[in-house]
Amino acid sequence: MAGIIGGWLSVFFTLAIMSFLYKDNPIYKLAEHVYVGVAAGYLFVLAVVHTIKPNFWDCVAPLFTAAPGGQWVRLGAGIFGIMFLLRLHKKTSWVSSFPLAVMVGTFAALRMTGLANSDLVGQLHGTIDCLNYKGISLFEWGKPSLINNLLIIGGVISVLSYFFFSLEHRGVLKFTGKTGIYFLMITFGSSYGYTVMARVSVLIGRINDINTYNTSHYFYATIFCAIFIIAFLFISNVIQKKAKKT
Amino acid sequence: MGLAYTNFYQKILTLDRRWIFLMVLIIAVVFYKITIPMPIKVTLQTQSFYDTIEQLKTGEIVHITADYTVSVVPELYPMHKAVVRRLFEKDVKIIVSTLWTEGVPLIDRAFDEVCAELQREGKIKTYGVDYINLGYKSGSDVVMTRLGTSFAETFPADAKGTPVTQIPLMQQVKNFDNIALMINFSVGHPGIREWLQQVQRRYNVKMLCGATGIMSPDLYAFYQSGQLKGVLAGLVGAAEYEILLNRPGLANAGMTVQSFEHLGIILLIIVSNIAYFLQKPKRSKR
Amino acid sequence: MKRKIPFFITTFVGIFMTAKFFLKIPFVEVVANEIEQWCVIIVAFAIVLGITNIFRLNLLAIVRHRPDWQYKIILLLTFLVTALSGFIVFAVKGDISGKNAFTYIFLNAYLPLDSTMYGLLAFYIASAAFRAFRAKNIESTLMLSAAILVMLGRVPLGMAISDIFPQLANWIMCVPNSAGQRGIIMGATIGVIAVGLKIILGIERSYLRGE
Repeated sequence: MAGIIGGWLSVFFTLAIMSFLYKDNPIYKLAEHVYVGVAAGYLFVLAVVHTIKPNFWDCVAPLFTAAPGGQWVRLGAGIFGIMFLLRLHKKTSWVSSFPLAVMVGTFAALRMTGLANSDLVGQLHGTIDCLNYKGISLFEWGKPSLINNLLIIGGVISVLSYFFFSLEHRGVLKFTGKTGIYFLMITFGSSYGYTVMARVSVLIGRINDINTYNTSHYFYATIFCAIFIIAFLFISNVIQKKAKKT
Repeated sequence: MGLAYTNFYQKILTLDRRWIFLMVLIIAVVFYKITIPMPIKVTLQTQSFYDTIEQLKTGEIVHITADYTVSVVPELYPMHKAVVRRLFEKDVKIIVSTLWTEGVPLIDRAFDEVCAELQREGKIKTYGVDYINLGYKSGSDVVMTRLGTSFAETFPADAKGTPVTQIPLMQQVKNFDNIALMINFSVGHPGIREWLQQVQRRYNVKMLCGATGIMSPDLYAFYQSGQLKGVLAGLVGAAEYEILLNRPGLANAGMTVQSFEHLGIILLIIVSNIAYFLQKPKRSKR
Repeated sequence: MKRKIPFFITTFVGIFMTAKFFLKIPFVEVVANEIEQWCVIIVAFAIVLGITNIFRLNLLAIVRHRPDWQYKIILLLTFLVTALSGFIVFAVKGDISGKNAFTYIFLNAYLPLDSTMYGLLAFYIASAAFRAFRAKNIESTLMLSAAILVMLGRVPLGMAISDIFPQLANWIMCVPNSAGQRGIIMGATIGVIAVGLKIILGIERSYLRGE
């Protein structure tokens, strides 16, 4: 029984969100607010159960029960965490700048070193590797080859030159910058193609679920929910038109 | 007559977008029921993904990070499940964690489904010995660098709350030195880009990635530079991997709809451009 | 003092985390490891802060009868039901995985809602393609052509029509797309390094504005 109710809920929420494609309506707003509420509740539980409890509470709880294994240093993390919560009140919100500083400093350092290592040095390494012409053919579709490697090197240099704004784009820089734009347009076009693929895949997943619940076991949940929502939209349309006339 | 054509092209260009929504929905519903067998060509990136997994030896430990949400389950879950199954078939041990809260039940679901299938074939996989779900941890980049120091300190307990010191599989893992391969299923941030930045070059970890279509274009640059050993790009990548495993499944089932939706959108682009250019000379004459 | 101490904390933490990357000194590693552990816990509290703030703002909206306040009641009710079910299951079982009320809400409410929100974008992307993609000049024609070739080449239909489509699509992704993405990645990285240094050295202080 719980499974059948769950199926009906699943279909109703799916079709309620899809009703936004026609226009904004109360059923969509209801589903939207349920979404935010459930998401917030779920995230709250997982943050507490999977992080605060094992990484903080289980480390400091032995200190209060005189059991072995407690870590005094870890208590500081909890204090900083509670300081963060004081952000909710205007008079005490300045206290939250201390844990915020820890977070910002940590992430700034990690990002700086991580990106420099991977995205700068790693990618530079990959570009310089393209100069290696030994053992590769002149041209192959989608595989390392001399022409492809030269195009990659040329493309990287031209895109970087397009983003170089310290000098006016004249002469050679103008030519390379223009070439960079062409590479960027191809990049954005291919990104769009993949984005379409991704979004359509998600739609396929929803159609699959709607189809699963449109069986006798689930008492044809899809059909009845669709009829209800379409009827609701039709009636609310009629009521709105009458209200406008008056 | 000229004015009539101009009005017709203008009508096309100013078409209510709800007709386009309806067209997309009709294509999806109609072709969902029809399966047209069409060839799938495996790309180099998918082949490399497959080959890297095939090179794993029995008993080696793989770390899977299921950094994705329920919204991209149609794209990433098929590849996640296919990879878990292949690793179990090769008797490779699996540690799974996630940096996204929604990943936790998806990890359990993949293990439950694959273990049930293997049980029907007479193969038993034991939790804690052959695989473990470490669950979710907040902190993104910090969690990644913490794992480089110690898995046990970052995840003191698994998803069920059992201390990792009591779990046999975790006795064999201190940090990334004990991990033969890392496979990331990624939808956004934190995801594969952060794993590449914080872990791959720093701890010299061999890395594979299954990403959504939106993230995939970025990853070709990392594949070309050798930082990624293989990439499964979106639902099509998952379908290609299923073909290589000789086990067409969830991903292949969606290929017909995918194909015709793409065709529909391409036709929309062509029609709108034709209408735009045929309308244009008449507008400029005025 | 209220503004100076956070800057010192940022600089101290930033220097230790950067030093951990370059130096293998035990003292630095011990301090940096503990900072990382603290950060994991602080981020979890930040999530709790965010959720508490959502609760507070919606409660205020209900009390002050702001527009759509009736829907906010539903939002808060579903939040309380989800959170309470999770904590009760955890208190009773010690584990929120498996078949229980919390997972039931996740699978039958959260999953369809989240998936469909993203699924809607398939419709909007088709509409955007129809309205916005115009081959007005060389740049837009290049973008349009790349999009069409990739869309056609990466699906079985394109492969069935001709072998050239998947080959072209793969070439576009491996060569010009890789080059363009690499240029963007490297350019952005230089920017991030500059901003990171400014934050750690205390030159960039905007993150504490409003305190």
